[in-house]
Amino acid sequence: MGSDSDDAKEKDMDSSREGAWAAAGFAVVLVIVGLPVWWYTTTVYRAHLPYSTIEDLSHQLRYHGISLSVIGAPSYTFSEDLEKHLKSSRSIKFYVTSRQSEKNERERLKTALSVEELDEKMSAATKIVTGTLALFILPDSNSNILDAADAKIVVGRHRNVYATADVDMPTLTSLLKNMVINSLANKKAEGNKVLHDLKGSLRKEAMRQVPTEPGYDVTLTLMIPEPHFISVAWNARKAVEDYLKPFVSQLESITKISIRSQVLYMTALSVSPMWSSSYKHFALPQEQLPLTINAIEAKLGSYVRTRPSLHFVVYIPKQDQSPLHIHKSDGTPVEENSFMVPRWGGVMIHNTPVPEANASMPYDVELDTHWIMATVLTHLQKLLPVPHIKPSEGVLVLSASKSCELTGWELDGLARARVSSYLANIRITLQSLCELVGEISNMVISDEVGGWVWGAVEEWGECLTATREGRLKEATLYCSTSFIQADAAFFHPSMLALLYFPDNQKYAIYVPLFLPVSIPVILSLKVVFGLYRKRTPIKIKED
Amino acid sequence: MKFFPLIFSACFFALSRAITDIGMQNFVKGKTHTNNWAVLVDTSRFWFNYRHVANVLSMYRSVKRLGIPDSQIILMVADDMACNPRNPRPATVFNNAHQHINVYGEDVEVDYRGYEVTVENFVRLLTGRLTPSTPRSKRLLTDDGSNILIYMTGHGGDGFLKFQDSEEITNVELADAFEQMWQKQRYNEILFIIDTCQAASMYEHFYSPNILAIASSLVGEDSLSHHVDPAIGVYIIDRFTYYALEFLEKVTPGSKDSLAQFLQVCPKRVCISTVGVRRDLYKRDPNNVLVTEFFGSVRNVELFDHVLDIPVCGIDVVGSEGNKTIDKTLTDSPGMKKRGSFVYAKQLPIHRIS
Repeated sequence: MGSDSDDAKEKDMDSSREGAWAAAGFAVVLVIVGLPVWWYTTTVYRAHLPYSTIEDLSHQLRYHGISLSVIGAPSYTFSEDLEKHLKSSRSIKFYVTSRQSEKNERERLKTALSVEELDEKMSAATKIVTGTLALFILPDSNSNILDAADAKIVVGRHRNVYATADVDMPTLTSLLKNMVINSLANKKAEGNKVLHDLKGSLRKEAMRQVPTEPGYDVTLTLMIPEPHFISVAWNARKAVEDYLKPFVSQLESITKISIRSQVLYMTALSVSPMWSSSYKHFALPQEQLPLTINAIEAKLGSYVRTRPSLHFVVYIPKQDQSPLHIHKSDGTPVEENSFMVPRWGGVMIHNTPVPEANASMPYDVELDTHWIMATVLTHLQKLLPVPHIKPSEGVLVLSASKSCELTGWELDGLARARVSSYLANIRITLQSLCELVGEISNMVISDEVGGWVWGAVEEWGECLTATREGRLKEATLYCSTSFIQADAAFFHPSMLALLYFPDNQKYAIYVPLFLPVSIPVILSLKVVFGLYRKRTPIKIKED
Repeated sequence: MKFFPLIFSACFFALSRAITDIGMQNFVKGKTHTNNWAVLVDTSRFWFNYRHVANVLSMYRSVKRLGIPDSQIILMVADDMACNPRNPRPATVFNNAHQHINVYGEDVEVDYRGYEVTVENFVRLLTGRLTPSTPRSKRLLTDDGSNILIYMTGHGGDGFLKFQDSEEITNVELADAFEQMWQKQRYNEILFIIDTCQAASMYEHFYSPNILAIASSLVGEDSLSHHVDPAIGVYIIDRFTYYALEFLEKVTPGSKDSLAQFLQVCPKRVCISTVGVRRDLYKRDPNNVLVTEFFGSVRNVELFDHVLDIPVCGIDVVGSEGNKTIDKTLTDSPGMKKRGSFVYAKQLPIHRIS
């Protein structure tokens, strides 16, 4: 077509005009049909995302609202003073309400003989809901109960704290703050902190805690390297049911933990202990511990699920290495013959009695279930950030009665720490998703991903409100669903559809495709313009 | 890649091991990671690329020996040299013609093999955007405490690394993938090592923090192979990796060799190409970083003097309903209670061996 119009000479104006029209026609079709089709078929599909809401929510104040009812405060100034002392933290906000003790409470107070009994009676009298705390100020007539226990403040098994009117206010308030949330979760709530930025004990804490995820797989492994000498009868199932099940079912609303157990024969830890003649046992120096689990890690089994897994290993030492004791770097044996590996689990060394000289092999051995499970629970509570109150003078912390369960306030503290951690995670995920979408223009956002993001944002907002209002149960629920949705969006396989198709490759593909079509059109347009310019001066001459 | 017909030059160089024990305490204190991962990638196939497989297996051998478990090593090997019919010594891959080190070893767990080694799979692995059906062993399940060693080898050019014979990954894609990992807090530090021609071009575009990148050659340079094994008939290992392996063989899980020493592993006179290092993204001084912080898996350990003071449980029977959380594996041994002790069959001669 272009060459046609090139051939056209002025002599034959009609044919040249025809050619020009044709060229213009091609150009018009190319612009009106071709360009939109090309544009439409090559644009990266992007569902609309709530960018501004994400921006808003990530700047919203994050603090945990905790309602604290002071019962039986001696004077108005007491609760006011308390409130003043509790105000210093950015990430916790106490809502202090004050009331006088009711008649039945006073009666129960009078009849209580010990702090345990007092706690039991008082928590039966007043129901304190999840996420809140109650502070009972004991009248002077009853303060002898606390004196008997040699304590100024008593932390109950549920969500009650008992103190006398002349209590030291800073001690009380710092105790309350520690009960409510641990210091790391505090930091997490404040901002986006990575491991590198944390210092000292906070970093240690962060390196210890398992990542906050909706569920964990816990594996109990009994390692018997020499089953031909030792025959172990251990009912792992009963041990788990007795010790771990109450704990796990208590955590049901916060996190799902599934437990498996296995026995591993003929596998030993790669340790080279030395005989310590002063202690009459084999000493396993602390310096060897960091590498002990490497050798067995491959044999601990593989998992189907991708969620974090924790291992607890009970190791029966070999005959020529037993009894085996872990020694600290200063050369003294560790009382509890076990060690914890942060974010991984723990290893317990369980020594067995030496058989008699002519005993028939394999000889039967019973394991100390109580010690094993107490150690597992100790490690597990450290790995999941269960709040912990450092023992101090004048403070008595009652541990949960009769079982391995957590106390009410410990459970709340764990839930709060997890909410903080979830909130930080959700913010990071959604913000970085928005940033990446802005940065990388080839990223496809399918409707499914869009749906996840919208869902996550909605739940996130709900969670923030619930957290501020102190509705801990709702906050936990909203946060975990929001976290799952945000993660699903971020890690959606479709997010990668066009990712490895950078701009320079785009030109490499489009240039050969469009050049053969567009060059003739552009050239013929030149002719059309030439014709048009020639026509206009003629008109002027006629005038 | 150009091949230098230099047969195994005997220029072993003395490694400077100047670092003494003094720094040890500081190292442990400055440790910022909780676990180690390794992603080892060989991108090229065919027999004449034998050396790339040897390269990647050298690294695999080292990280495994130094303690990273197979579950935390992602090994991508595009071709199977050990079982290639042309291999005169089946089930072995050696790092030199004198068969000094069999880098194939006893057990090699290849996670992505053959045609699974694609750019898409590699980027998906890094970014975590895998299909839900992907097994755990093919996922990089790192967290904010993970140190990742990423080693790549293959045929590269200015700004790209060829995968198989059909596609290539560009330095921009790689940089974007790392940024996405950083944004989602999926690594603590990355040691990126690449042994290919013009390798330095691959780290040019990195912009995420805490990455130390090492390349076997600068832009415009070729990365060279070490020597030919006449029995195999092809070059069997690349220079940079050969000397890196030589260095790593001397490292033990407890040794104190620093990353700065690793950076000196292949000086120009033996490597012929210039080893490029990009330090600007990495905050710590390589002198204070142990090689085992990336190649090994030295765990943190905590000792407690006391366990929780809990009462003996299980005397009063806990209700047996709501057994959902306890997996079936616990319950599938009905004979547990009856069986007092395990009895070993006579035909197992275990007791006689020991």
